[in-house]
Amino acid sequence: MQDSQALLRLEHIGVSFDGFQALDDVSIDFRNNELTCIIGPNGAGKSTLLDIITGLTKPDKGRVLFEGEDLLQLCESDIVNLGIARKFQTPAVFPDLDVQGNIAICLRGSRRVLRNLRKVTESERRDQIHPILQRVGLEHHAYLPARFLSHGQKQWLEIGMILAMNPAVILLDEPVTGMTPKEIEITAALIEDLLQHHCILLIDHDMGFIRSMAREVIVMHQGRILTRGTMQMIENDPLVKQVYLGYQHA
Amino acid sequence: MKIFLIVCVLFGSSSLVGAEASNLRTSVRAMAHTEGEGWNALFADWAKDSQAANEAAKLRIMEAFLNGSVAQDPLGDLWIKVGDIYQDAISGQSKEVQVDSLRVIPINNSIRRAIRQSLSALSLRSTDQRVFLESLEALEEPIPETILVTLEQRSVIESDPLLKAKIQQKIASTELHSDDPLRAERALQILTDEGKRETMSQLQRFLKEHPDSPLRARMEHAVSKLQLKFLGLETLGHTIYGLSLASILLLVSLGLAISFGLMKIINMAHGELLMVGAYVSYVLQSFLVSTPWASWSPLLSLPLAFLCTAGLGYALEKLIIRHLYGRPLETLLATWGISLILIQGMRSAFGAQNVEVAVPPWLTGGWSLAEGLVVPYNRLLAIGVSVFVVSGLCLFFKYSRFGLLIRAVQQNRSMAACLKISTDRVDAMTFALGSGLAGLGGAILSQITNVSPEMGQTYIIDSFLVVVLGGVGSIGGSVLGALVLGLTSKYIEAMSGAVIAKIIVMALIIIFIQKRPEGLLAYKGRSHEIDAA
Amino acid sequence: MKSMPHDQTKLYGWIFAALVLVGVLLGLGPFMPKGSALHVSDFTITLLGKYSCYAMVALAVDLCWGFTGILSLGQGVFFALGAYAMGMHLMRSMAGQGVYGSVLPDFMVFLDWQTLPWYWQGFDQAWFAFIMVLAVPGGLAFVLGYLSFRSRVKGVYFSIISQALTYLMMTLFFQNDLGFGGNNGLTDFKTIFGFSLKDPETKLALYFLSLAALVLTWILLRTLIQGRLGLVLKAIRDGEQRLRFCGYPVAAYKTFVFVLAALICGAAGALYVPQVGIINPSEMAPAQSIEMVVWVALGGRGTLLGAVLGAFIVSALKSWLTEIFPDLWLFFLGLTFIAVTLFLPKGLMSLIPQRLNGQGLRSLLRRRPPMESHHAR
Repeated sequence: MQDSQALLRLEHIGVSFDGFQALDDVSIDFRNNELTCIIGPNGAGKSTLLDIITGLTKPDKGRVLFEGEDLLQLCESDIVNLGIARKFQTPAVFPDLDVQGNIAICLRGSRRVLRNLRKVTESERRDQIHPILQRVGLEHHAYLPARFLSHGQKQWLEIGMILAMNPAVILLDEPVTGMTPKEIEITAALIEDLLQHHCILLIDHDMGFIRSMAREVIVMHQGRILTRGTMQMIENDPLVKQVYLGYQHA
Repeated sequence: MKIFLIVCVLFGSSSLVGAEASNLRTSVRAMAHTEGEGWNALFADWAKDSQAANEAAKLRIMEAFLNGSVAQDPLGDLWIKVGDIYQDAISGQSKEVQVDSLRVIPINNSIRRAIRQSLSALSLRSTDQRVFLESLEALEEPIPETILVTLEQRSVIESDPLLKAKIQQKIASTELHSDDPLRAERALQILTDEGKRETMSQLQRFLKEHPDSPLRARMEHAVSKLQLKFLGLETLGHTIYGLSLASILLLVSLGLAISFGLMKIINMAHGELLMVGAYVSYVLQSFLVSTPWASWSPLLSLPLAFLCTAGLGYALEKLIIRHLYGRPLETLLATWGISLILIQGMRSAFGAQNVEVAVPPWLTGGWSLAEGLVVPYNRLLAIGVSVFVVSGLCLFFKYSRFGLLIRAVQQNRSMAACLKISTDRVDAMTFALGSGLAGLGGAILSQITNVSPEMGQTYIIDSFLVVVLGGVGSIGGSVLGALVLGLTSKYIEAMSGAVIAKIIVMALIIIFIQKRPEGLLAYKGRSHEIDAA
Repeated sequence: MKSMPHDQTKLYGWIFAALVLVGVLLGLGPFMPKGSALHVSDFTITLLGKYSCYAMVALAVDLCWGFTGILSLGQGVFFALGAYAMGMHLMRSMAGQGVYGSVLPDFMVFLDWQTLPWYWQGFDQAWFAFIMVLAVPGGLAFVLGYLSFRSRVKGVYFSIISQALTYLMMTLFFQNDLGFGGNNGLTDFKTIFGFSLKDPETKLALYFLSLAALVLTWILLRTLIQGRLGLVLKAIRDGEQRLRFCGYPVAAYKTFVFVLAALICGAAGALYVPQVGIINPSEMAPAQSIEMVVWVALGGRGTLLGAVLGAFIVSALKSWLTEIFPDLWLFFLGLTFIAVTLFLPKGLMSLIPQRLNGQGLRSLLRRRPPMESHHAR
């Protein structure tokens, strides 16, 4: 299981909220240029896992290592600056900023206060922001405040923000929820595109979407890893059928 | 003789008293033409007279001597000048007298001293307890030997144990300085057993004055024992006053625990709802002032203040606050606006000055727990009411249908709405409940502090601190917050004084909130939804 | 990528410039012959100077609340601290000219103090006083801000804490033993840098100084807000947790903004004191700080022009109302609070018509989502 080449490694993570065991002894390795999908019913602990990687929740037990560095000592922004970015379940963009402002704020560069007392330069707009907007298909809405975007557009904008940060690891929390099939198709293409340079962890409910993306799938149930393998293996696993697929087909 | 008869008739007293009075008159007449110190012998005689006969007359005469209002006629009878008229000194009757013939007896310090001694000796023999106690308290140490003897006699025959202890203590204070080590030791024993606060300073003073006393070791031991005792008493006192403060803090913040704690409404007008409650109490009292119900108005005002402010709260929720849900900072500003209007409204209606809310007889005074430790009855009422209200609230939330509805709506609004609960109505009623509780707190406050249009401003910050300290969203948290705040305030106050204590406590709370923003009572939960859309 | 849309802030900039021009022209008023329509009295000049100081405070409040979403209910403390620091200099520079003729300030003689307390040392030097005018409010803001923002105290919790602090500072300054004149504060100033405070020329100079400080503040804030910092601040307002996930140390930004606002307030206080001639603890009353928030709320938060307009309008109304109908002032203030929050959440600025362009039209056609904005959570 343990792999010395892992970019991001979770070791025996356990956490409970007021007695409810949300995660129990979870260990996963993530390697570069690899897509890992996690599925599981509600309450399986998928989002909590992302919370722990991103520093939003501190686990009771276990370690999280990124390139050998322990993430549990760091705060959210430091973890992000190491190169781990997250797309939230509900689209999280800055509604009062315009679209290009949302991207501009995410561009790589120093996050220190005194380094940010400058203008967004024209070359930044031309060479960095504009290409990203084109990639997520929002180049015509550059000066529209983000709150006026549609749900799907917000999801893309958020992916664009992650592109601007250019992280090593991308955590995607249900990126296609509430999207039309057409939008899902575009999003899937976007993610495939991302995969060429990034390590991606994807969480979703949509089996069709997962099937179209997945190389390796991890199934979680009640805070534990139930099983892992290719989509085909998973779909034929009776245990998985029982806890998860079981009531999807029912 | 004629006079004697008149005296007898007028007083209708027994012939024995008459005979004593006649004796007294004879002894006074014998002093005709006596000057200055000559009188001392007579006063000393009186002091020694263990029969305490004609006590009133003797006391009257000696006091008149002290005031310089005694005159003697050629016959030797004494007259006391009261205003413009003269009274016969022995009978106390006003009578015609030839003023020209009267001779004012001049006195000097030596006479004064003699009179004082005789006076206290006489009054110490008095059967009137009040007179006795007064003169006992007034005795200055060291007590002269003669009086000491009198006191010892009295302590033997005294049947009231409390009084007896007091006399013995008084004797012991003097005996402590005695050269006879046995007597001194016994005195120390008595003093230590009694354990009064002044004993401690008395012993400390003694130790300072006589550093080489043979009793030194025992005395130091006694002092440290007493110090421990008073430290305990003081701590008890601070605890009780702290509890009393906590109950007031709780009463003023319970309403906020509901509107802010449960509903997350930042109600800056909370203090003004308190103030309105206090004014309701004032108005009710002015209505009842000349009825038999007057003394019950503090209790009657509780439900009335609750209803009035609850109504006001209901209206405010419907008119203003409802439109600001989800915008806490705007709510803060709007409710501050409401508070300004309420303050100015009350000023216009009742004037800017404090109004007088009278405390009825049954609430004046206090319950004396120990020496120097009195809990005023109005504070006890506050403690009682707060216990009553908190238990009532707990029962209400736990068992009543409406309490259940409130919890349902505040925990999951959309779910509750799906269950056909009218969340609008529940919101309004919940806010009304919080406001009503504020009014009730105000009605209690009106018995304790000044009622003025600005009074709410004093309490708003304290109330928020209690709720935030306790942990937003739980009544139990507010109870805990009030207790912690009340007790620490009083303990710190004992060490540093009121203003500094307030500053220290506030600084502590600010630091505490830094460390634990969720308050004393709170739980952690899942957090992966974040605050941007 | 389309070109930038017409920027509303440019329009606001021109309006502000026009207002400043009016201010400069009014400053020439005292030179006009008395009785002419153009004459402006010294009293009015001082009043306008006072309002300019208020407008600086309003800009600071707007920077915190309007742009960053930090509602501080304690801006008055920073203002008063700056004012006290300046007041201390004025007191020291008139040593020996007091009622008692002592080198100590009058109130110290009254308290029977023999020597100057250590914290009064150095205030006879103007440069030292100037540093303190900024350092004291800035330092306090840094401590409070750093502690609060680091432990993620935000929204109304921060408001309540800042108000508690305000109350605490006021209580502290009411103490005679603290050495700042207790109830009465610092007053009876005679001169500033050797010029008599009674001279109309001094008053006029102070007015122009305040106006210049206001313009400088405006330029500084406008520059900052149009840069990346403006983006970051608005992002903090929209969702500071989300911004952490973009890698920003949010607490550092909030502390920076809070300290900057405190510095502006301190400077405004220092300019205010010589014009008003007194500083006492009532300037620190919580109500005072809340009134500063009203300026911005009424004018329109999130726009610099709104803050400035709000400060001038509300203060002018206050001067007028408290003189004519003293009882009505609180009613008016209270109703303003309620009316603005209910009906005009963006303040008077929302009455200025937005310039229409492609996007603007689209945003007008699309109904704005109801009030649930995200600033405050």
